[in-house]
Amino acid sequence: MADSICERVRSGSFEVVGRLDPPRNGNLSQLVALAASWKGKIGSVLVTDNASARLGGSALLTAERLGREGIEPILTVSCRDGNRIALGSTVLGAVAASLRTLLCVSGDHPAFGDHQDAKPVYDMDSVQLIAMVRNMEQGRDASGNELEPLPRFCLAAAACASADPLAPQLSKARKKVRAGVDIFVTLPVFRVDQLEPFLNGLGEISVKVIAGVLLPRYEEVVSYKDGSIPGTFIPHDLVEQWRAMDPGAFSSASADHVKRLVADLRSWGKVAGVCISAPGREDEILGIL
Amino acid sequence: MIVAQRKPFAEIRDMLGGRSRVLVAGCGTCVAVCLAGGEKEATLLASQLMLAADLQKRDFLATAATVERQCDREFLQLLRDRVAQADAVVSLACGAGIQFLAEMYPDVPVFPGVDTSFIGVAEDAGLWTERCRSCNQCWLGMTGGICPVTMCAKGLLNGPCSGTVHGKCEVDPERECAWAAIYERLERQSRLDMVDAPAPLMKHNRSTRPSRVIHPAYKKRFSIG
Repeated sequence: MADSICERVRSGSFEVVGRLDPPRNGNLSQLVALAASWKGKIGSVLVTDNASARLGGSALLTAERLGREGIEPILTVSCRDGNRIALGSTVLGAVAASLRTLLCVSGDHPAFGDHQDAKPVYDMDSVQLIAMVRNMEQGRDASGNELEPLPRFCLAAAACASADPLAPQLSKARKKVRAGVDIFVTLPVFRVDQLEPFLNGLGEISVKVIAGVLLPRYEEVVSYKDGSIPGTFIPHDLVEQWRAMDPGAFSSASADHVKRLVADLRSWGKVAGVCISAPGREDEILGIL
Repeated sequence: MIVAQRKPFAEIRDMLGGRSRVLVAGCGTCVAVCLAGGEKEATLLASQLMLAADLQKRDFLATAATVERQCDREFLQLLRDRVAQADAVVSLACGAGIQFLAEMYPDVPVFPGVDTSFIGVAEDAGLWTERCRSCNQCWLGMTGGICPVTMCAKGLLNGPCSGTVHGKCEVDPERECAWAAIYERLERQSRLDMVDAPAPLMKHNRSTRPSRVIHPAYKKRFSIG
């Protein structure tokens, strides 16, 4: 495999990540075909781990399959669904599957998903997960037991650039940096200036920031209010504009918006790439580029 | 204190099945304060059960008796004669009291009349809110007196998740984000260095269920070996 996403962003190239959710039907052929059609345009595929607390296919298995197809996956590891033993085991599985990039997240609360009565685990949080992976690389598991040192991962973490208040979010982001994260992937932003306070607040750090962007579904916009999509804040004037449109007009307007946003972020020079999410509209991602 | 909520009447009635001599046992401490299982509530439930049985013209007797605490043997002892006359007991104590009563009188079925909710505080008249998960490893010293284990919906120890909405919790917009509150409190006390320190993993073996606490003075008496 060529350089990992960490090496590419460090060398200054603009990384384009596309998000894919492992399907609920146990059949990966469509997902693999879509990811294959992105080759050359999209550097890596973010494989989600039961995104939005909704049951999905196995992230580890899906990422492994993409890797075998010559597509670079980023494996999401969420603290919501497993304790430190399960998460450590996933990390070992990632090594066995030759996966080199992990996105370590706490995970949306089950209250948002399709299993609202499920037990939220959160035995560790994202900072502790990052620290655990770095310790495993040094030959210690979460409980300090010895294991064979693991190869170094490229570790990504989430950050909400539009958080209000921002200071506690920045404080946690700094902890992630100290724990050893390489890249931040922000939750979706809709305008370049949404990133500014976060980037300024982080100051001079070696960690690269990839901006999240979202191609929302019409229903999400119609029912949108702050908080309806965890960590994602759509500027209210944009919501109003989109809501006034019929679904067809919204579809092209939102795609145009994201297309312009990706171009703006690319020329802005302050972020190392974009991570495009388009749940339910994944086949439109290529058009945005 | 421990906060509980009275179970719906139909649920209690159905649990009792055809039993006809019922003792409703109230508890005079926490559940009395939160108006779920004290003397008044025990008397009320006994009357409700009598009325429901009357409507069905059943031979039925429900009486109420309330003790100071059901989590203490010396008080449960006082119920001995009353339990002996009953073919079922409905306990309105918290889960601990219900179990202790059932343990003391193992020949009689004991049914819960409340759902035990949490360890909390009386926020206002008629409003109780949770404050403690009894994790057996108190973090309050480094979090400005606000418990992240309890007050954060995810129990995160190192800061807020990305879902904070204008200072409120992503799970419940009525609730403050625990980490926004912790940050604000520590900033006010010029102790922000506390949040910079990464919190270690929870030691769940310290809260292995069921837990046991032995007062240092009683160590010899209760320690094994």
